[in-house]
Parts: sequence; structure tokens; C-alpha cells
Amino acid sequence: MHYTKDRQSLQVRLQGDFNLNAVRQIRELFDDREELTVDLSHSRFVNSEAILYLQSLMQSGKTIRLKEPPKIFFEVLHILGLHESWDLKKIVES
Amino acid sequence: MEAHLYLEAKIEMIGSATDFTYKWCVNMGLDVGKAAQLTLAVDEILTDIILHAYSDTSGYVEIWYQYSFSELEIIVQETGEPFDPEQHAYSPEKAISRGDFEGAGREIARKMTDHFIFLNRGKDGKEFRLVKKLDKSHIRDLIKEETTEGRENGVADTYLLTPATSEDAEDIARLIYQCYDYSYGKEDLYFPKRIEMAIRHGYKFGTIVRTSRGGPAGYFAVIRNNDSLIGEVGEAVVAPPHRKRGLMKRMLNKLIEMSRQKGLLGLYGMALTVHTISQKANEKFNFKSTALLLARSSRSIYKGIREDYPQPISMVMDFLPLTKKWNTPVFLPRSYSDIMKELYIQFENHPGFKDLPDQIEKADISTELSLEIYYEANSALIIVRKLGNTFEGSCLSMFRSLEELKLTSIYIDIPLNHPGVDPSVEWLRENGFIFAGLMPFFHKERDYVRMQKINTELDFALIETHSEMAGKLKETISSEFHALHKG
Repeated sequence: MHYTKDRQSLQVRLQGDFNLNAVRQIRELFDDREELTVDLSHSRFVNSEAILYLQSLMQSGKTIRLKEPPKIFFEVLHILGLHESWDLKKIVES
Repeated sequence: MEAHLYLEAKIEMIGSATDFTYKWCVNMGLDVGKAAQLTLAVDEILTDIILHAYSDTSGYVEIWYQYSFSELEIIVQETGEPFDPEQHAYSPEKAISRGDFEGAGREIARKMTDHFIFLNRGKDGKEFRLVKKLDKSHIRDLIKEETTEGRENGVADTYLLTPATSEDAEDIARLIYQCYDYSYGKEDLYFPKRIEMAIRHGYKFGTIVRTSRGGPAGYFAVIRNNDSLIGEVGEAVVAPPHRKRGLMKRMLNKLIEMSRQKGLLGLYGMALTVHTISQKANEKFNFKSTALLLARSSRSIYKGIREDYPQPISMVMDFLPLTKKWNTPVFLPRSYSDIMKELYIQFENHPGFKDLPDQIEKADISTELSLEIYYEANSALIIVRKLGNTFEGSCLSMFRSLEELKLTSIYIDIPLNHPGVDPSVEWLRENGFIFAGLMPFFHKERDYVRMQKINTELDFALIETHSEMAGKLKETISSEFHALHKG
């Protein structure tokens, strides 16, 4: 995992999937910052633990951005019934 | 290729397991999108296991990767803390309002797969089965683009028999389509990519006949069993203009020669009982009937079967030994010792029969069972890998775990190399199982007796048998079936 951070924000580029292990590492790095950007261009999938983590950040008022998420990410949001409650125009950068 | 991972139940292991899963899926023929879906399903199950089943303890997870021509199956087994998935269903409302994602992993796994099954096997642990179908181009899509010009329709004077290679896959599918339209029983043969993968990975081998101009005229193949050195003679076709020229016989002789070279100990054919054509063909080549498997296949799989055939299809198993070293003695269960002796003595080099001791000691080991589910046929086969002192308990757990699936038929194979086969068969009879027959060399090159439990009505008058022995099997099995179903 590559990352850069400042007081306000954390930018992460994942080398693998956005899974439980990645969530734990990002949570530790993010601490109490306000903005998280995750580059998913090398990820095959985003699992439910990652979705749960992102949802909890959004609910606590943090800003998240996802770069180039794989197609399966959108399928997962649909399966979990979250596709309408997530503001994907703001969250996703293609 | 099949694979087996044995992993410590730790978060750090998930990534390694999913990397392997993804590569295996792609290598076995899934496109990258479907490979990612099946990999995500495995990730979700492993994550659930590590977070919940092994939250307070250490343990291990086993993953089995299984390939068939039409699907990939991944089985995840663990023995962590028990749980009931029905008590933990996913709710989008709870996720949005409370951030409660309970059940989300299993919901994703279910939606990312074509079949998702959870089996609670009691003391033997829990098992998740994830299946993804291999959807490849159907041969009809390729045929559409072809004009009739240049296609060979006439007879030929000379034929060339060669081993089929993965490059013959499209010709094989084309041959099946041209000869049978949509009525051939094995759907996999309409998908060239599935044939190519199966030949390339050695799951089947066969022979193809070509005319002197190179056009395909016939094909015959053996599908290897995945846990024993035997194979099923399962795919045979000769194009109409080339029939009655002895090609089927030449191909089968070639296949028998190839099977011997590959070290196979025997060949078997599963013949339909809707008619006796395949049974007669098997008999012609000296195959002998050893079992009658009731409700073995769904009617819908065989598109050529009369539409008014009202019940699942039963099959006669015919066997041809290729070895003279069939000499490991066997114990025969008392209830079936007469008919099993008759089944054995059809073969010149059958094994000897050992007398059952007066007191049968149970082996001081746990019983080990494995399970194969035939999704399309809605049936399952339980294989007794080790026959030990927990036979009844392990079987009951397995039966309970299968209850929800509402299977049409359940088969169980018990090894004949241990006297414990006798009380095991008696216990199965008390639990609704009836005889099916002898399965020679069927698992790890050992002989098994197969018992069957049928959860549907069957009209035996519609089950046609040809050989005398198949008729005897039908009589025995029908009488047991009716006695059980009357009771």
C-alpha cells in the first residue's frame, strides 16, 4: 500500500483488493483526519468490510473519494441496497 | 486442475487465498469479471469465518477447488464456533440507519455465485459451497456464421483415427450439433471452450475420426474420475453419413487401448433406462451391469427424451475391467451378499470374498465423509472415505445438513474393504436407504457398495433394463423401494 498524508487528509493507493486487511491498515493511518482518497485502479474488488468502513466514515461526516473503482464495486452497492443512499457523483473519480 | 488449501484462520491469510482463487478461476476458464465475482465471494466467506467463527480461538480453514466441465466449485470448510445463518440475515435498512452490516458478506457471496450452499455438519464442522458456471460461446453461435459451402456431407472411403486434442474442440461441438441438433444429453459438448479446457487439463481424453479430406466424422471420449484410476465412457457420436461403417467399434477399441496405456483399471458407462439402446451398446463391448441408480438425472438435462416422460431418469451402470489385478478381497454386507456375489462373478478376475466375523469391531478412528453435489440433477453423493466409530453420528449430521436442499436422491458409497460395511449398510437400511449396486474401483481404486435414498415417487414400469443382471437389480431394488414406500 502506498500512501501520502497531511493533517487533514490521507491518500492511499492500494496494490491489492480493498479487503479487511486493507481496511485495518487504512483505519490506523487515517486516525482522525477529515478526507480519505483511495485509488482502486489495482483492486479486483471492494468487499463488505470496506463498504462498512466507508459508510461509517461518511456517517461521521468525513469526506471520501474513490479513484477508478472496479465494476464489481457498483454491483456490491446494488446487492447491499446502498446505491441510492451513496452520492456516487461526489465519491467516485473515474 | 483441482487444488486444496489448508490455511491458518488469520486475517493475513485472506489475501494469499484470494490471490490463488482468482488465478485458479482464470486458469480454469472463467473470464476476469466472473473470476473477480467468485473471488469476492470467497473473500467474504473467509472474512466472516475469521471474524466470527474464530474470533476467540485459533484454528484452520480448508478450501477445496473443484472443476467440472460446466462449473467451478469452491468448498470452504471450518470447525469454528457454530452459528445459524437464518438468525443473521442482511438488512439494507439496518445498514443504512444503524451501520449494522450483519449478514452482508453472505448476501454478497450468494449474489456473486450461481449456487451458494451452507451446510452445518454438526461436530464435523461447517461447509460453504460456492459455484460459478462456465458460460462460454455455444456452438450454435459459431454455426450461424458458417455457410454450407465447403461442408462435407458425403461418405468417405478412408478414415483416420487420432487422439482428440484441444484443437479439435470446435469440430467436436460442431459434430454433436450437426448430428443431434439440441437433443444430445451432455450440454457441455455444445461449448467448444469447455471441451478444449477439459482435454487440455486431462479431464477427458478421446479419439476423433476424420475423413481423408479432414472433415470430422466421429468422436468418442473417456471422462476420467477425479479420485480413482477409472473413467466414464461418456461421449460418443458418429455423423449420419458415416454410420454403419464400424467407426464406433474402432473408436472404442482405440479408447480401450488408450485407457490401458494411461493406467486406467476400468471403464464404465452410465446408460439411460428411458430406452435400452445405450445398455445394448455397452453389452456389445462386454461391459457388465453392476448398479441401478434411481432418479440419477433430471429429465430436463436430456432434451431428446420424450416430453411426457414423467419422472427423473434412472441409470444402469455398466463396468468393464481393464486389469487382471483385481484381487483385494472384499467383505459383502449380509443383506446383499447373494446379489453382490452375482454381480462380481460376471467378471473373470473378480476379488475373493472374506467371511464377516461374528463380532464386528468398529475401527478406532473417526468416520470421514466427503460430499459431491450434482446441482443440475438435484442429487448428492456421500463417500465414506474412512469407516470409523462415528459412522452413524457423522451420517446423521450430513443428512440433517442436506435436508434444506430437498434433494431428489442421495447416494452413499461405503468401502468393501472393512467388515464395518455390514452394520453400516444395516443402519442405512433402517434410515430409508435401499440397495443401488456395486461400484468397482470407484474411489482410490477400491470397491464400494452404493446405497440410495429416493425422495420421489417412481414408476418402475418406466425403467427399462436390458441385461439379465440389470433386470435382477431392478427386481431387488424395486421390491425394496416399494416395501419402504408402502411403510
